[in-house]
Amino acid sequence: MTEVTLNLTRKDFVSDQMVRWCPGCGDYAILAQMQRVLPELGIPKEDIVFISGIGCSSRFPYYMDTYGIHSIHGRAPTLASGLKLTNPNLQVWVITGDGDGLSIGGNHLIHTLRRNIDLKIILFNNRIYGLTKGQYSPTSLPGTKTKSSPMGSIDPAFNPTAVAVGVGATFIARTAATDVKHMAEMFRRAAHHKGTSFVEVYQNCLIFNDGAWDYATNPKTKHENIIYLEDHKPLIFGKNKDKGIRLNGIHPEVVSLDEVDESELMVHYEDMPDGSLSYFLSQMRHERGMPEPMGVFRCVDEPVYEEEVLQQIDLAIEQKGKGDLQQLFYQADTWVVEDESSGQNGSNGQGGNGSVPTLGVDEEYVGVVFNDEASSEPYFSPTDTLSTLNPRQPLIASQDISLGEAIQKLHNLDVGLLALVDDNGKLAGVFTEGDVLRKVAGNVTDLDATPVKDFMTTNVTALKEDDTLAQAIHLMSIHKFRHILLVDDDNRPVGVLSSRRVAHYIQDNFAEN
Amino acid sequence: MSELKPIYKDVDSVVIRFAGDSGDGMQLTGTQFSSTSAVLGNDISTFPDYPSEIRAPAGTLAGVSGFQVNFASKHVLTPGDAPQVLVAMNPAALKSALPDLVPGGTIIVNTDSFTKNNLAKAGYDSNPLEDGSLEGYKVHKVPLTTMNREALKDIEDLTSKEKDRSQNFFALGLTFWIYDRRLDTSLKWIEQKFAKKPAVAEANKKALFAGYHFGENTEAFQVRYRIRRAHLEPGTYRRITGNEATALGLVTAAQKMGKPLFYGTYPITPASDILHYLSTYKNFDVRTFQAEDEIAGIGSTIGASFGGALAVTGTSGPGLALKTEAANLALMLELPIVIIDVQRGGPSTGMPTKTEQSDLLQAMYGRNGESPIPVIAAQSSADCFDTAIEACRIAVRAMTPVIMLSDGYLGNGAEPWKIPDADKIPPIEVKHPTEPNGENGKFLPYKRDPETMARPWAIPGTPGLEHRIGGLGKQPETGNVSYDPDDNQQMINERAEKVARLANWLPEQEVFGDETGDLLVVSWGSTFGATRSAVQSARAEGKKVSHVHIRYINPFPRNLGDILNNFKRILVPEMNMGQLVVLLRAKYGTHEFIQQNKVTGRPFTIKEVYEKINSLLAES
Amino acid sequence: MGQKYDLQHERVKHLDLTQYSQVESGTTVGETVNKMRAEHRNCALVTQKGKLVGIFTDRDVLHKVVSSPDAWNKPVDEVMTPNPFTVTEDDKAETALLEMNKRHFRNVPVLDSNGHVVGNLTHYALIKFYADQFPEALYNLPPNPNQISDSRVGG
Repeated sequence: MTEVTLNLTRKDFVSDQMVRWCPGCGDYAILAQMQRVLPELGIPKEDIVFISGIGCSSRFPYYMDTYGIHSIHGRAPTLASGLKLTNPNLQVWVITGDGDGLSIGGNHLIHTLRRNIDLKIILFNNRIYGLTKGQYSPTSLPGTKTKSSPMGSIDPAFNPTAVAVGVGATFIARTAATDVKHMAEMFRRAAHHKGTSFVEVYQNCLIFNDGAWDYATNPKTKHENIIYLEDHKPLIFGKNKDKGIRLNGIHPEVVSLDEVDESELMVHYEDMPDGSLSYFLSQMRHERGMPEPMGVFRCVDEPVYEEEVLQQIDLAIEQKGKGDLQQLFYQADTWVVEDESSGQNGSNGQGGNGSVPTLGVDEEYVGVVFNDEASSEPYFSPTDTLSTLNPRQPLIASQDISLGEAIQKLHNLDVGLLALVDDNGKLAGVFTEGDVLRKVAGNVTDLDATPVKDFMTTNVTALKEDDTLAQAIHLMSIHKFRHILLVDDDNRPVGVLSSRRVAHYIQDNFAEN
Repeated sequence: MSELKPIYKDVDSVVIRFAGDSGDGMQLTGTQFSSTSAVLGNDISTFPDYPSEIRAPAGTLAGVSGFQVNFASKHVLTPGDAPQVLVAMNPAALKSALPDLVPGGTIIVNTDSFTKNNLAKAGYDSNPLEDGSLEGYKVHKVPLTTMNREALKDIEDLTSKEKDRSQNFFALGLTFWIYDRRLDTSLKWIEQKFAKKPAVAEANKKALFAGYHFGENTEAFQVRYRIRRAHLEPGTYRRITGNEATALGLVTAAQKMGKPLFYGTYPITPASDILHYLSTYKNFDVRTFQAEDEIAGIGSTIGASFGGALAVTGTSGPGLALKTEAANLALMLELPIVIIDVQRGGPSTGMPTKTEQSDLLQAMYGRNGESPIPVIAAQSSADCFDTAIEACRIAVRAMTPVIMLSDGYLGNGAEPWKIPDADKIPPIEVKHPTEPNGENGKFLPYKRDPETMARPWAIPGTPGLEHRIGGLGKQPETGNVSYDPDDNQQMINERAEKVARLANWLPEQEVFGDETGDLLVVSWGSTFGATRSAVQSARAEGKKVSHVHIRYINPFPRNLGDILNNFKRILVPEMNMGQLVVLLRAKYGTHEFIQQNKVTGRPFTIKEVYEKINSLLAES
Repeated sequence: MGQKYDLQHERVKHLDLTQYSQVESGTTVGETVNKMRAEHRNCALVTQKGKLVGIFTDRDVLHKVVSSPDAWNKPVDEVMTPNPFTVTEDDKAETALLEMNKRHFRNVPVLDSNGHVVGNLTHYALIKFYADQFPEALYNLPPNPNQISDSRVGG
């Protein structure tokens, strides 16, 4: 930024367009202050750009005599990002509203704040959708009666500063449109900050939501309901500066300075490296009986996105030299077709420059298959197949036997699982001691007259002998199987593993000592 | 040393498909084979068939990865209708590729992988190698895994599983023997690629030799095929995929304009590779921006264009759908941007890894209001280079968004590209005003150039030209917001005229074949290869058929109507249910247009178009 | 081989001991079974005034209850295994498991220093402990490794 004595005045920033907001709209005040602040910034007029989305707020660019785009609903931050990445010397302002920025534009706002591109985002919050004639907005309080919510809106109110803190925004501020001197100062601070600046402006829509911010702007009440933030100073508010904010554990509370000494109060630090202090400030809402902070919540310096992008470009040029197209074209391997190519047998042909053709796909293959990192990941050996555990022979019976017979078999052999097969010896179901407990005991009077089919589990999760131990452990640890049946490729039961056997195997083979 | 004496057969062209598990390195085998063939002077065309799932279970049908290469002594335009040779590494590969093999074709199978388990995973009830179902094919049963391990038995540093990974080189060596390819290019490649893993390099080389010698020493493989060099234009060549060609075209256009290239995008199959390539060209002042979603991709592109960059966004069908509102903003702002759509199977999520050409009507009409946007389509992988440059030229000339259509088949497929001389590519003239263009020192952002009807591209940072533009209806010349009825009609007319006028400046349509005849085939996009080959074959038999392949779809070439008038009937083959034909009917309605439609995820085969041509000619 | 785990420094209380139900002495067999059903457990620990007096599992149901209808209304004390082998929660896990193996038990009640029941040691406890050491390898597995797809599925 060169030192140029610019003699810009407010007039330089006034466009020839008639301003079409409703008489009494808060947007007028914002426009006026912006037109006062810009000439003082020392930036040439041609380097300033305003980009807006859709909404009453978004008419803003038309009334500023600078470069500007009135774009589409919610997308202004994306255009601003592309513009700033193309010409980082421009000062780019994004004008948005509570609907444009927090509803349809929410996603873009979040990511733009996260990236920390040097943009100045001013959000005109009037708690309503003005342009479309009065629907409730994300910041409307629950119970707001509008054309689309005649019985009162249900959505909880969106807290823009809390979200900005959550996503790591490096400059967060709040002001009110009628607090003109304060607002001008916020715009100046936002302009000077290097990185994304986010300023929430309480703005009154007198047609569709008149008085929404009255508590914060009416001179009679505002001093009890808002608190001005000053860097490195304790949080004090009230007409007589007689109240303060103290942290009680992790809860900010209002205290009277008659009872509490100033030294006990929370002190505001704009440049706290993490967002915790700003988060407390963002949670201080009028609806919860707390005064709402006005001023700069947070101002920290973090890497600026477009600078990092350009640094990478500079580094690439340093490493590879400035781009040479011909060299780029030749970056694959080449071969030459000579003029006298007729008659030669293909198999005796010579490769062009002796180097070997490649394709991007080869890289993928090489990387994946022979990746050092991949092979050192914790990797459960597949050579431990279930056959290694020497599974026992399962107890098998025909699925046509009675429940009594099945229970008898389990009882006699003192095992926990009976595999039931069809006439071809293929698995039809299993019946376990668990089934006896869960389904049979106390529920069946005549065991011998009841077919086991009625109580067996069909749809069995069985494994094969060459499945891995990992699979068995998976079933036993997540689904608490106590037995796993093994079948062959023809679905005939060939083995059974109990959790005892698996546990023993683990203890015998994998214990560290 | 072999005591067997091979006999040599000369053939014009061969189509081979390599198929195996995704972990078997089929893509690598295929590209090595095609690279070697290209180096030896054959013309080649390839088609990789990636598995649809990222890590499908080994041995299943979902995990089969294939690579088809057509190499010939003549000029080839497609990777071949149907393979004549199938190299199948496992049962699933055999099952999935067999239906495409020509009757009586040759199959080389790795018998070691035909275990009960693998057969079951592939859905075979019995072993096709034993149950007679492969009668009619020439089947070569090779115990590949065993032989490969045997060949590598002296290598101590690798486990059996690691040695198995060299199997594909064994298969490659065998096919090199059969098709009389030299080993040296692949040997060199192995050494370079695996320089950091000498045991692996050694294994791969040994496997390659072993496969080759296996062929040499096996009676069944004593017929060797020779394919002569193709007669290609002299020059220096390289292989290139459509996506890489697109990226190179974009960076070339930016350099020729003397501007940074801005690419705002969101990853989507099959367009992501364009982003990958461009992100490695930073030293050309290429600024890639991986945005949070598709809309941010195009939004950032519009902002970049406002700032004076050559701004491009790339996507596929579903992404184009998301971008429509913003595309219309670019149209109203009359800013130059290029929107690249690498088409894929649709609608909705569709078939991301399969190809289609069904976004044409979306590109033409998929926006609210009267919204004419120039549309241009690439015809082959290498052609994506020229088409990308063209799209940029059109965009800055007419100050408009331009849609360039490519597709998955072009994007991922490769062909030889004769490398142009970078210095000989003409610069692209771009003017940015520095002075007001109106009375009393005013700047009129929408005052149009009398010839092109484009508005001036005044970029922020230029003193004295401050102006505001937006998406609302506007007044001519000033661009001020206006809902005046006449103003609106006038601007609608002007924007349409601006696009229509491009036809005066763009080249005329060329005809392949006679200027008049019984039948004209009109195609666009990637059907070029199959259609041109089919028409060539028909004409070689003396049939009266010609071919027009359209690159400029909006506006159509100024002489297209006259050409159409000279033919009795017009065949329009498309990988959609009829979209170009809808545009042709709308503009040139009085002709008999016959549709040939196919929406299967696969390109047209030469045979399909050829037979259609024949049947139509037989009718009349 | 698989990855090694280290149990040397763990105590019994660090394992998952939740696989049990608890009933008061004198509760009927039927009520006990119903409680086990409701809680999805297959082992019940029987206590009297806080002290462990016996253990009752589904194996007991199999052997002594299901085929004898009159057992249903008897107090569970008559079919349980009285005075089972126990360990304390501060015992070394490795030692406790070795003891369990030596004695061929599938359930070993765990007591605190006051002799009150705090859990039940089972093979599940070890398997779960092991699985937690290698969650990526053991939890991220498909439900059925032998699922065969009929055709190439789109993706």
